[in-house]
This record gives sequence, structure tokens and C-alpha cells, in this order.
Amino acid sequence: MKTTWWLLGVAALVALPAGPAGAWIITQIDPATSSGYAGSTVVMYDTDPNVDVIEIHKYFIRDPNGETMPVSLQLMFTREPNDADTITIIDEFILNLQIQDNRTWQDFHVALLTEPNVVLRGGGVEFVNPGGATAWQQTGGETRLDGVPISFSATQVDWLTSDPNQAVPPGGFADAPVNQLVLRGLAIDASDLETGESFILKEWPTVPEPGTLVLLTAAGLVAALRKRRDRR
Amino acid sequence: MSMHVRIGVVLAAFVLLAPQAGAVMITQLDPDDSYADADWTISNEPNASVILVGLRVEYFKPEMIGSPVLLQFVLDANDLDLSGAPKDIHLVNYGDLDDPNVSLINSTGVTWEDFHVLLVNVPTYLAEYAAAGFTDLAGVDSDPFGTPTVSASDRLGFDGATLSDRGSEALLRGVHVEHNGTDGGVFYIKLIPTPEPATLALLVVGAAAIVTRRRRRVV
Repeated sequence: MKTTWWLLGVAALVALPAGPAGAWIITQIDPATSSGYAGSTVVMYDTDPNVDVIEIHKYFIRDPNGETMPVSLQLMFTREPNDADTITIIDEFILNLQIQDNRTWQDFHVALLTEPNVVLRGGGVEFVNPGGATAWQQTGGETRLDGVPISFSATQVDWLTSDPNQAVPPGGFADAPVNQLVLRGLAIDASDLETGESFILKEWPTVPEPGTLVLLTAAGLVAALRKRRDRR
Repeated sequence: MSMHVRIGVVLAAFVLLAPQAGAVMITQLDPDDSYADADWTISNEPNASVILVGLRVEYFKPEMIGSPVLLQFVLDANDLDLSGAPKDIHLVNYGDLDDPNVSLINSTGVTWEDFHVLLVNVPTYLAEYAAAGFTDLAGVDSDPFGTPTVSASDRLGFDGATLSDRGSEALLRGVHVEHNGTDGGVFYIKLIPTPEPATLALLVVGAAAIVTRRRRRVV
């Protein structure tokens, strides 16, 4: 499964950076860029006839209101004319800079939302093969958050670990890659979107309460059992 | 010689002869060394007008084709010249800082057709924003790719040649980076090889076959 996404990623690179040519408009909508809570940089590779390829750097700095409101980062993607149906995120480089909150990440979540007040024709926006996404400290080295998602659907992917060695500790820029999480294999099918319509990519770490932990573990077990049954 | 002059001479000697107090800090953030390995050495002489970074990168795994080696640069208070202006960073040869050629070694077993170098800043609203960019673009060149087909302050693109043999080497020269000299400022350089069309076509066909087979299995 992982191989497929390596190959598709490479396939997407037929005409790498000639400069962004008519690519999706991507804006950080939450938190406000002036808030100091989190930041992001999107690196546009280029547009080929079939796939748009990007990388995203994300910086989680501090929680707005301590543990009652963990920071989340939301990027809005708005479709431009000639944009491809599929967006391949080659990788996401995510730094845990939450030294002030002393926040060690045991889980991380990625979700697709529709823009408020906009009804998408035909159903919506979906992850392509969300179960194939992986989490690393450095690609090809140690995994983070147990590597593979504990649960996934067409619109959400969740990683969770109970192993302290798989957690992502906080640190500064100079501490990276110790405090780094690299996500690979995320791709988004936005074929139902018309020009000018948008969707939101939301990502957030949390420190799950025991109840949430049980639910996520149960969801992961169900997914694993279903997968095994399908194989048979 | 008066006492003041003596003290002045001693201080000057201390400044000139003291070991380098520090310089830009470089870290390979991605991938793991087993996939690709970057080696570097840094020279930041107090009297020099630029910082030299000797760099050599070897790519081991075919998975690295189309995927970046990501190097993080964290600036230091000493990255200024004697007038207080930020020193440009020049990428040069790892083994010989007088040699301007950065060495890029293809040990992946997959032929490279293109090579790309991207420069990424942290967001402008973070205190670590370094306003870094490629400069002196007219001097950028490569063997075997030649002059870049794309050159801008945030990206250099090379094509027009192939690098096929396992262990073969591409040389990249004239890559200079300017920045604002912020102590603790951060920027990233990404070095990305891409495959030749024939290899790409095979990879696409392979990927399509896998996807089709999986779909058929699901149906």
C-alpha cells in the first residue's frame, strides 16, 4: 500500500517546479496568523495535467486556552480554473513547538471539512486511500504515533499511541527532528468541487482523555477486523 | 608601548585568533540517513564576508526520487560581517571549501532526469522569519544539467541531462543564499531529484496497475 503512494507521488512529479501554475489558493484561516498559536507554509511543486502536488510545513506553538482548547490548524483550499481533481501532499513537516504548554503529542488528527454555508455538489471531498497514510519522525527511520493510523475514514485520519517512545515531545526549532512529525501518503480527491468552491483541511494534536482513548482504540480494532474480513 | 595599546593588541589578537564562537546550525530533518545522507562542514571566519557551507548529499533509496532531502538552517548571532551586515551563505564542496562544487550522488539505481532545489522560509509572522532567498542567480550552474531552466529566489530547477549510473555524481555550483541575519532565524533548503520520463512512465503504469488490481479486489 505504501509503495503505491510512493509511486503515485513520483508520478505526480512529471513537471516539478516550474513555479506554481494556476494552483489551488490555500489560506490559513485558523488560527489567525497574528495569533502566535500556529503557523504554516505551503510549498507548491507544480501543476501537471492530472495531479497538483504540494508540501506543507506546520508549526504548532501554543494552545489558545490551555488544555481546554488545544490548538488546531485549518487551511482553506479554494479551487481555481484548470486545477487538478486530486491534490497530492508529498509530505507534511510538522513541528511541535509547544514548549510553553509542555505538550507531548500522543495523537494527531487530520480531517476534511466543507466550508460553512457552501453546499458542495455531488457529495464532497475525500481522502484517497486514507489507510495508506503514515507518520514518521524522519521518513524511512523511526515511526511516530505507531506509524499507521489507528482509525480512518474518507474524511478523517487519526494516529494514536500509548508508547511513550512513539510520542512527539515539544521543543524548539533547534531541537528538530526530535520534535518533528512527518506525515506521508495524504492525497485529497476534490473532483466534486467547482471553481471557486472550497474545502478545509484541519489538523490537530490532542492529549486524549481516557474515554477518547478507549473509543479510538475500539475504532482501530473494528477497522482492523473489517480489513481482515475483507481479505478473506 | 602604553598599557592601553597593549590591552588593545591583546584584545585584537583574541578576536582574530579565538576559535569561531558559532555559526549557522544545519540539521537534516528528512529523510532518515538510511534513505539519503547529507554531510556538511561550515566555515564562518570572523573576517570573511561570506559563510561557506561544504555540502555533499547521497541518495540511497529509490523512494527518494521525487522526495526532498530537507535541511534546516538556524542562523546564529555570529552570522554577521564586521560591519553588522548579514553574511551570505555559499554552498560549496564538502571536502574542499575552495571548490565551489556541491556534490550530489545518485546511488538510488533510478535514473535522474531533473534536479530541483527549493528554499522555504518559515511564515513572515514568526519571530524566526529569516527572509532567506537564493541570490546571484546568474552564477548558478551544474554538471551535467547545465544552467538552470528555472531560477528564482525560492527555487532552482535543472533538466536537460540524465544521471543514470549507480554512484554517479552531479555537481552544483554558485548556490548563494541571502538572509536577514536574525539570531535564531530559520529557513529550509530542499534538494529533490526527479526521474527520466521512461522511468516515470514505468512507475505510472506500475502504480496504475496496483490501483486497478486493488479496485478489482474491492469490487
